[in-house]
Amino acid sequence: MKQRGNSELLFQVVICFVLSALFVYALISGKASAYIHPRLYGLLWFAAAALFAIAVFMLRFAFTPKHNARPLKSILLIVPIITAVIIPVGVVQSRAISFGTSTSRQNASSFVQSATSSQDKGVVIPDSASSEDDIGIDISSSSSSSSSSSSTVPQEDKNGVMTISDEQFAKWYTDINQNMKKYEGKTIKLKGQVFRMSTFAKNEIVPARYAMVCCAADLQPCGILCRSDAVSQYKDNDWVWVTGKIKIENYQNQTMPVCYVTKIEKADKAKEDYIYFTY
Amino acid sequence: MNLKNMLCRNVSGVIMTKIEVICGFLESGKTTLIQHILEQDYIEQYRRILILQCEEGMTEFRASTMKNKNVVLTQIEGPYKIRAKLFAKIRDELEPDLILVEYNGTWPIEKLLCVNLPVDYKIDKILFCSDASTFELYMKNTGILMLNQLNNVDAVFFNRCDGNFNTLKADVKNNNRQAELLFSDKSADQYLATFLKPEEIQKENHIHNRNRVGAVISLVCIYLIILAIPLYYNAFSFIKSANMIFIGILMQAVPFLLIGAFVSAFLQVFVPDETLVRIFTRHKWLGFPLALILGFFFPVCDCGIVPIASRLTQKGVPLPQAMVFMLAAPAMNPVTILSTLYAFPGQPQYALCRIGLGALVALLAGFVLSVMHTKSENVLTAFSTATCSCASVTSGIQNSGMKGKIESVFLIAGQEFFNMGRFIVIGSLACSILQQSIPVSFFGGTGAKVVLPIAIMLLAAFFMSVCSTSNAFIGRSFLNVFPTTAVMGFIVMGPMLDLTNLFMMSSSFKKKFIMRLIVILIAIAFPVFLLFSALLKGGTL
Repeated sequence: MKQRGNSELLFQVVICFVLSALFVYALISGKASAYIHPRLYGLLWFAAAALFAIAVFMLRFAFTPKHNARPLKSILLIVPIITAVIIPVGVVQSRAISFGTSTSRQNASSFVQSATSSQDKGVVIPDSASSEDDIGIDISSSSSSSSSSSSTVPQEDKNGVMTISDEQFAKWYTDINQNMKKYEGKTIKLKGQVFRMSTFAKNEIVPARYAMVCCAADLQPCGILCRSDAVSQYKDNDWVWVTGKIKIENYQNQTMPVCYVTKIEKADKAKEDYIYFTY
Repeated sequence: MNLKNMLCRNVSGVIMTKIEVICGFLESGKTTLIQHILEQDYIEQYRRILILQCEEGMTEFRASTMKNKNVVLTQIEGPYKIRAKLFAKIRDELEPDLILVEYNGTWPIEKLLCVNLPVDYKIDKILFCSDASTFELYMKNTGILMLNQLNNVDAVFFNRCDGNFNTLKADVKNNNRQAELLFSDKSADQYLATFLKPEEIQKENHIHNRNRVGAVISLVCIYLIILAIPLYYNAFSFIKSANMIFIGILMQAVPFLLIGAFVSAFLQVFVPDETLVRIFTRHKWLGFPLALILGFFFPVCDCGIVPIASRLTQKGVPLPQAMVFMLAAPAMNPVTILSTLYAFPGQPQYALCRIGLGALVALLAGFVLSVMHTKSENVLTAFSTATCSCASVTSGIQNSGMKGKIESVFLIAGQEFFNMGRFIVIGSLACSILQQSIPVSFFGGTGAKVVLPIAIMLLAAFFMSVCSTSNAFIGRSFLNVFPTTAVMGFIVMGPMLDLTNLFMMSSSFKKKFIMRLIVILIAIAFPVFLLFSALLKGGTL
């Protein structure tokens, strides 16, 4: 039979509704955190609401027939919907690491950026992440300090070990690069994914966390250089707990903290895939 | 005869009766066109032709010159007559195989489109006749009436043309991108033949069928590829990685794009053209600083600024000012300033430099454009996004007070979103693939000299297309490999010259203009940043 209504507009209405629903789903299920920084959640809610409103308003006119409607006009907007639904949430792999943020007023800003040869070893990390990190944390430092002072810089516990919880990583990372001296000689314990670059020596890794600044396009691994002969047994992207002493060294013409590992062990993956710098 | 029967059958084998609609206002040449059609040689192949005349034409039909002797003329007195019954009666009593409707210019076209036609009847083409000399006048004064018909037509036939095609073209294309434009009798004849001449119809059908087969095959291929992705899951981590970036960019861009679309729709509905233009043109040079300051009050990401800038241009704001606004807004944006302050903690000079250099480059570009006397009319595409392309949607409610206005804001924003959305999808797809396939080492390795790093950083900015609010953080990570000036170039020029934005601009600006803008920006950026590095004498900020 004859088609009634304006298929072009109807198609757009459907796209708006689907996009809106996908945004809401991503927000509620928490999958949005894999794509964008949580600070953009508000905007995403706004987008979902706006798209919904637009769809409702358009719906009213979608049933006025149009002679030469071209429903395929907006076909391109289907592409992200399809890829978002079909291709599951993965991990963006970066190839380069930058050590540290600029050390405030020091003139040699401490950055290294070079490329690793191994590219895009996208690893599927199952969504069912363990919510508790039970390995290697003594209760006193983990549950109490991370919950009460999750946003503050970690303190030493009674054994003189500074444990950096997942939530504290971003803050600590900024802090250690700004006030290196403060950490010199201290023993720290932190969790990260094994990250190597082609320029690294055999005994060098960075237990890194991927940091998101805005969206998945700007994910960057963050971490400090660690040295130990034991690191070679861990593969790239393995989650590890690293305990070691901080020394300030000159590495490839820049002053930066290097951790001499005393203990390294396997860890469960962190609850959040990425860390987020908040300001 | 045999041949004809074969041609007019549809897939199920039923002989189809085609309805061709010719609409337009009084004295637009509808009757003449119909007479002309009936005088074509091929018309004799039809068994019986019915003319439904919805108004009394000034011209009378002349049966003597018609090639088909079996033509019936019926008058319709009012729009209420157009309903299913009429066509059922025609089918029973007259059995025509071609119906030419001379449709009244003041009746809404939906009247006809809504009719429940008999199964074997179909509306084939809708033509719009117009007198070229009065077209614009009607366009201004009849408003919705004409737009309503114009939006639904397949072709517009202009009578009495005297050479001024471009404005007519723009007027039609603004409302109906697909419409065929016929300026001469010759082109009209060719066009008419495509759907009225049986031999041509057959040819068309062949092409159509071939296209359809092609479409089905390609759909199947795409489907198979999509199915294959999960199978080669790990091997395709590249796709997954690129997809993450792709979706990530879109997810952060869509809200900003929507904000931009709403601001643009708001400007369209609530701010009269004259006000905006007056603000920008009150003084010869005052428009430029104003455009800069305005940027500060639009806390929109660079992807949201493109629709606003296009709207300003369409409203008649001089192009140089609108471009200054577009280029400077991402740098002046309070969110961007804040993010720059965060990216370089304790070093506000970076943020200050960013604002200063951004404003400088934008102003210089605006200055160059105004010296070149680039006129908006020459740079906007004939069918630029939204002058009234949304009129089809909003036509019914344009005059109905506050509620109607709010409704139009939403509808126009929706249209804008879909127009720009296509380009942002292409842009972010290209950018995510490039970002995953070009290794960072490609941009690294060359530190010391001055010119090359700037060029490389500009190239990187162009392809990475990161949002202006986050590119400070990315730029920061390049600081060790590249001199400060090059990183500054990356941060400042990134939002101005990036792939996604250019794709979006191409929805309302001509490609030639976009190319010119790129050249101008690069030509300005190099001296500015070279000067900047000379001032710094190689030191850091």
